Amino acid sequence: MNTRNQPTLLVIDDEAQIRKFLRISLIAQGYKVLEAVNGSDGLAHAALSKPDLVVLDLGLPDMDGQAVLRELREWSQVPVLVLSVRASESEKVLALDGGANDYVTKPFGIQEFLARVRALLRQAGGAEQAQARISSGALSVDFAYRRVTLDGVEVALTRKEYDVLAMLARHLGRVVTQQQLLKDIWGPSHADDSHYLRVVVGHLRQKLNDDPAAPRFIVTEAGVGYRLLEL
Amino acid sequence: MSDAVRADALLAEMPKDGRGRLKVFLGAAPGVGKTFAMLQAAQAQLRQGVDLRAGVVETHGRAETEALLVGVPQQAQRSLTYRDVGMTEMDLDGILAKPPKLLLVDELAHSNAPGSRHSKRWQDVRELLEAGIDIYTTVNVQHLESLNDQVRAITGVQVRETVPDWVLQEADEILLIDLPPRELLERLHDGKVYVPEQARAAIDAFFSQTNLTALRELAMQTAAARVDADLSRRYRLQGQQAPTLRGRLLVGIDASEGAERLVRHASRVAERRHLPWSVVHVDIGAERDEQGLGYLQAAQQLAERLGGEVISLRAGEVAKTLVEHARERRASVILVGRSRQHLRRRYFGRGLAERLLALGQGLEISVLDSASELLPAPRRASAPLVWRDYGLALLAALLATGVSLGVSRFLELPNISMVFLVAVLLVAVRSSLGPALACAGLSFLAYDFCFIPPVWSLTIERQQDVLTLLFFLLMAALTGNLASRQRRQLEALRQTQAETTALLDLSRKLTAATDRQAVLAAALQHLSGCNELEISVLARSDDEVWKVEAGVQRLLTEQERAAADWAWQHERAAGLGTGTLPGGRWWWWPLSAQEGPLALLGVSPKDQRPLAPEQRRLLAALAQPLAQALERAQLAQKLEAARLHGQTEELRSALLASVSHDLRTPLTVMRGSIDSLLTLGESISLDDRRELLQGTRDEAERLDRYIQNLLDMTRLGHGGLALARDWVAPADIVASAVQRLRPLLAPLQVELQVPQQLPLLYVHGALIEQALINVLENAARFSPSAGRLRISVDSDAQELRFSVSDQGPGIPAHEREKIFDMFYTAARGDRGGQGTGLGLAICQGMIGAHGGRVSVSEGIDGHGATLCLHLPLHPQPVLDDEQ
Repeated sequence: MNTRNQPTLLVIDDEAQIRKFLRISLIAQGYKVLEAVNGSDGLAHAALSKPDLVVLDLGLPDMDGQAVLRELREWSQVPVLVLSVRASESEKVLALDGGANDYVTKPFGIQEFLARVRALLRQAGGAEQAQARISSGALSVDFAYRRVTLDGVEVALTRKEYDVLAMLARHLGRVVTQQQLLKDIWGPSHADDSHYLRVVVGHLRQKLNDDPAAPRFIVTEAGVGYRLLEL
Repeated sequence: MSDAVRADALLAEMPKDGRGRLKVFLGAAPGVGKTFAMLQAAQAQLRQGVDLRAGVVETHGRAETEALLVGVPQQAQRSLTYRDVGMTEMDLDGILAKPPKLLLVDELAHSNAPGSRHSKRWQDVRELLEAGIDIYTTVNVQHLESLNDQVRAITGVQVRETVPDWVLQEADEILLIDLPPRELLERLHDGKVYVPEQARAAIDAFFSQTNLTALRELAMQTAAARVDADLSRRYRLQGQQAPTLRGRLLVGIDASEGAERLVRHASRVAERRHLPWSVVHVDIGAERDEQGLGYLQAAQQLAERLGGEVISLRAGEVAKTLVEHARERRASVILVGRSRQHLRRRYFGRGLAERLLALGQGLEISVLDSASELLPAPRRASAPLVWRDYGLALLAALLATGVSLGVSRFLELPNISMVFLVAVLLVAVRSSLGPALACAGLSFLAYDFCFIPPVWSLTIERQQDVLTLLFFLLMAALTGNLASRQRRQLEALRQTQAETTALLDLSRKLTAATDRQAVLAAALQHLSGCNELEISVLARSDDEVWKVEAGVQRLLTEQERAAADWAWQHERAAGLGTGTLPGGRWWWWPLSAQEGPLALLGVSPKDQRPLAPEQRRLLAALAQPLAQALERAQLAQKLEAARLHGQTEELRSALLASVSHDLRTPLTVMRGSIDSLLTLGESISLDDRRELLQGTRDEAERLDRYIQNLLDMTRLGHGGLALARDWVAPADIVASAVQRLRPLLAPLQVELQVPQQLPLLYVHGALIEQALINVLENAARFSPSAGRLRISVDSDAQELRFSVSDQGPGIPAHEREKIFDMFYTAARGDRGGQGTGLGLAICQGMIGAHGGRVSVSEGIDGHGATLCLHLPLHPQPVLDDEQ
């Protein structure tokens, strides 16, 4: 692993223009950038240079992005940010289930991209796992006491509501797929009972006074899952 | 002579559609040298370099014949085993695989071993001719079907292997191989004629001087008849009047033993006089036993083989029907048999021939006497039925006697006879003529015995009573006859009506059916009425794989499949009960249109016995409208496909035109802004630079939405839009859409009215989101700057509604339907503002795919428009108590 001050990012994408604008923006943010133009090249770089984060395009000329992800996961736990096209929620879910840590949908804004990168690098540092408390703006979740406060006022949550919020908080800024949430909280036999999740999230939003159209806390990633915004 | 007749003759002269030519070497008896002559002719052809092969040639070990085989390429024989006996047959498939120009096929009348494709060699030859191969073949005159009886009469030998006469008529050339009987007998004595050892005695009887002379004459007659026919054809070719006027020969047959003989005779007469001929059976509804039915069927099958037309009519009276039919068909000759079995008719009424003579003015009526050697017909097999009827007659007579005795006190003597008449009438209506006459006889006796003085004796005192009794008998016989005929007519009518109704019913069902599946379903439903039959409809794909389209799914045996293949290829019936591959359980009947077979009707009787000709005729009659309906369905399908194709092409070009316009607009803005920044960057103010960049980003987003729409349209357009439904909160859909359109909506006052408690939707979230985005984009585009845009969601028990209202120009009522048409905006040209016009069409497509609809109404405060997406609600999922 490289020094904490200057994390190294590996960008695997065959489009030179996309690599270019990512490189410029990332370097401007103080990251070191490595580039690979195809899957095998990318895997070689990942093995040699041990980057802190991999940005992986799912559509590569030599091999399927999902295959690159599978191979990478056999020997590395490096965070992976996937670039995907909008039309295929199933692709995104597949990548997330296959070990990717987050995704952005093409075309994407650089703000959004940089936010994802930051969230993933923080996870790699293992920061929030150890944290007993996580805050995002006015919201704070205290894991030790299973307590949630909004603007300093405690919010009464049911057990499931708390579990969902806590799981999102542990992945602050990153997407959590609905399958992950359902399996972890309701159990593996309920992995497809998405309506549980819809109802619980609806209640959570009401209690947190959150407007889905202009979310302060919980963002719905259509067809994929939820994300707790990092503020 | 009309041109049409001449054209027919010319057509007949031409080689028939790539068909091979047939040359027959006809002989009077074995040993006259047919094979020898054929091989000589073959050698001559060989010298001229004709590509010929010997399919099968029997030399019977004769050296001089074998010598002629030298140099003739031979087709290897196919070996097969039947009941552990090895046999060889001509290898039909081997020949068809590499067809020669000319093929030699000896012994045309040969019967193939079981397991061959066809049961007769002449069927092989027919197939080879159809494949365009010229054939030389040999046949003896006694093998001709129509001469079968005559040959038996001459020689006393029943020839089992026969060839239908039309094979000879189809022949392009007939060569009579003649050898005077004396020389033939010499050859026989010299051992130059092949005779199987076990049949020597029979053969010796056969080869007598008289037999051979008679056979020789028969062969010469046959050849001469052919020459005659050729001659008249040439007359017609030259446009001259043919010597004979064409008419038709009708032969009337009944269900008796003589029917077959009559058919043979008719075929011969027709051939000699060059007349087309029909075999007519008039069904008067009389009971028929198994055996009679068998005779009739055999005769009808024989007629089919001999090239006659088979007709069944239903009516109450034979002679009248025959004459009427003859006039209808412009027949000139009616041929009937006179049978000795109809003694009853002889004495109680005029015979058929007499009636025909009386009715058929201007017609030639021929009567063939029954063969003298024929044994009297065995007793009818349906005895129980007949006895029951006679029992009825007895009972009726007894009852009538009882009733008459009862009423004799009130009635005068002559009137009592009425009671008996009623009994006779009843019996006649209930059964047939015989029992009616029996009842009349019994009544006569009872009347005499009980009422005619002296009572209780059969003697008659007064002379006038004799007269009364005779009148009574006459009346009884007449009314009985009348009533039973009436009843037969009624039954015949009933059955005909039932059949006609069935046909009408089928054709009505078929007319209602619009596609192939419906046609087949209707046909199957119709045919499933026959319980003893299994029905299946098959179709063969181009790669020769059979598919059961309707009816019974049953694995086919090798042979059944082969029969089906054959029926399909040759468009003729095959399988069970036919001469072609009869080994399986199925009878195949191809349903053909002009372009070829459309489907194959398979019928399998559950008792596995071949279908009766009656059944086949019925099925074939049903098959015709069925084939027509199938053809119609196919045509309709093609037309629909062509129409769709045209529509798709129209859409495609409209799409390309509008897409190229709409994709270029954002690109132009982006490129212009960026160029300005690159070249004039320093001189543009910071705010302007920011504005240009923001514009570029907005346009990029717009481009992205267009592309998404295009992708969605292809998804919708292919009809294969698979909905990945899941439970989705309506609020999430609104939120996601609003977020994605944030830059576009930013200049407007957006009001969200989304209640907190909304039912969940069971939909494909991304598609509904896209539909909402399209509506929002449309509203934003037409809104005045800083106008209000209201997004509201509400629901009732049935549906959930997303409504989007704007303050734009609104949509006039008469255009509200059209805005969902693809390219409606595009059609209006640039005046329509931005957008491909795809948006609302796609929106409707997506909502429609979910079973919902889109409606249009007025917008906020009577201005603008409101578009509402209606989505049906599913029963809400049940949540655990735990949540």
